[in-house]
Amino acid sequence: MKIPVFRRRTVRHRQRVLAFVDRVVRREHFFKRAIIVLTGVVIILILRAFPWGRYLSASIDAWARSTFSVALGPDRSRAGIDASWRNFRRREIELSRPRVERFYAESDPAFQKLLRYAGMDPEHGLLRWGNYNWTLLLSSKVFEPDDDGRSYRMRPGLRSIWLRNLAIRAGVPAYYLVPDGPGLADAIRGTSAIVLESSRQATNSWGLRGPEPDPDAPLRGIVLGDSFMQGMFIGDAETPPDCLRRYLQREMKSRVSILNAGVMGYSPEQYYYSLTAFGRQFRPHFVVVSVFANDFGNDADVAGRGVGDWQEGKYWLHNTIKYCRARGWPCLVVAAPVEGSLLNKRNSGYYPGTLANILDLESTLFLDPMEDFVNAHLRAYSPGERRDRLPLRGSLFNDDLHDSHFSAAGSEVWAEAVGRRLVPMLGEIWPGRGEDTSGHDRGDESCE
Amino acid sequence: VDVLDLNSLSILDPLEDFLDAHLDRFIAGVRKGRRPQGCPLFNDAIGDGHFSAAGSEVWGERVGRRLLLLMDADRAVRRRGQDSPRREGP
Repeated sequence: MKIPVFRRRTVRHRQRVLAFVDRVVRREHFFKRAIIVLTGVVIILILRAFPWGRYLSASIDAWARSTFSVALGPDRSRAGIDASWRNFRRREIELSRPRVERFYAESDPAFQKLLRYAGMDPEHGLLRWGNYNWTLLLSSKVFEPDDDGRSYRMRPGLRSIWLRNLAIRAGVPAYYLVPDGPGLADAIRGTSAIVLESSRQATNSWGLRGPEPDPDAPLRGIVLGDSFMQGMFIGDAETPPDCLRRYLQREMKSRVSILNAGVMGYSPEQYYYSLTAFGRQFRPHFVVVSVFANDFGNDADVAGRGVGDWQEGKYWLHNTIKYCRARGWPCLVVAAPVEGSLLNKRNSGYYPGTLANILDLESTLFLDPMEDFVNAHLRAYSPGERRDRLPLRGSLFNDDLHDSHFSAAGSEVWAEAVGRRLVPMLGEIWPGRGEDTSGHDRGDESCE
Repeated sequence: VDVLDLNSLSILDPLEDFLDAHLDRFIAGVRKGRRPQGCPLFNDAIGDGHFSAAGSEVWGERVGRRLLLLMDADRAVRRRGQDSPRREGP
């Protein structure tokens, strides 16, 4: 006999809530949310409205970033950073090569001929890192690879010249500093290229722009830097280091030899390796390091917002300073002014202010020549014909070429500011002032 | 400097002049066998951080030079019937 089984039915009981209770609960939730939102708004208002609030907010932000960076970031050791740069640069060059090939293939035959003349065709073009994190396409007839830290260097004993009016279509920043040889006129035929006659430059036997170095000169200095010091679109005698040489010769009444180690596209890492490459052989009495905003990242971000890789720049500049200190060479860091900061709103708190803050350098060894540029600009002021353009005469930058490097007049201002700082410093450590009886030229020439 | 909405010509930071003047005086003192204590451009001798007479001189010279240049540029602009360089920027 089957015993009936009584199964218990599971009934879901749902307690009904009275409407007025439901309203109370909903109001309570709304009230709690409102309190949370209101508290947040009040905190934000306090942080934004009061200086100490803004400071607190910035401090918390900086602390949080630093904590997360240390806790979650990749290998922060120097070896790890160097390895990551090496990989980045190698990858960027690999990515750039097909772009150059495509660019060459798509160019018309006349332009291909020019690229072959310049040594910038896919087979011969020099693809190297520069300008902090760029990959540059350079003429292999003007530059050669350097695997000892500088990435690339200028070939010694070579005359070269700038070509203008060539749109950069390569997908890679391409610098048309090309050999100044008999084939140039033929090479540019059929292209839009214009030879900039004033930009003719020669390298000495050390592969640097300027006169032959004289390691036996009574007073010697090395200038490290980038295109500002190499002298962009200006003549050999108009570069800032050559103007400095003449200034020091006049003031110190002695023969002076300046090694212009400035090469376009260089950044602090390459400044350091330039110093180690030439320092021992040249035995300078002083070193000048010329820096610019793009040494620390995108120049607009660095100069306009203070956003850049300051730590990387600081690392290499400190290495350079330490190298000089160990040898007793005064090392003067000079910030090249940003033209926009001179003519419009000044943002010197970002650049060079941030750099001055992070460098462990006494004040006399850091120079911002901005005020000298402002004064020189005002002295040269003569209104141009068009009100929306700057006056060309007396301009301190290459405005007529739509370029923001120093003109010959700008080089002169730079050299005077740097020389004025160096003279008393050298007077203390260098005993040879006015004692040059060699009969060599002591330079009464002026830069312009 | 970053937060002020001012044309660059209207701002003057005379720090570099003070540094040059400090170095000149420091070296001159060392040469005379009297190495200066602190900076002669400030009242360091009495434990005060304001300008000394020499510091005032450097400040006055620097500010005066800029003012003269600004006024000269202003005059040049007016002669040509243009706007002030401080507003438009020479």
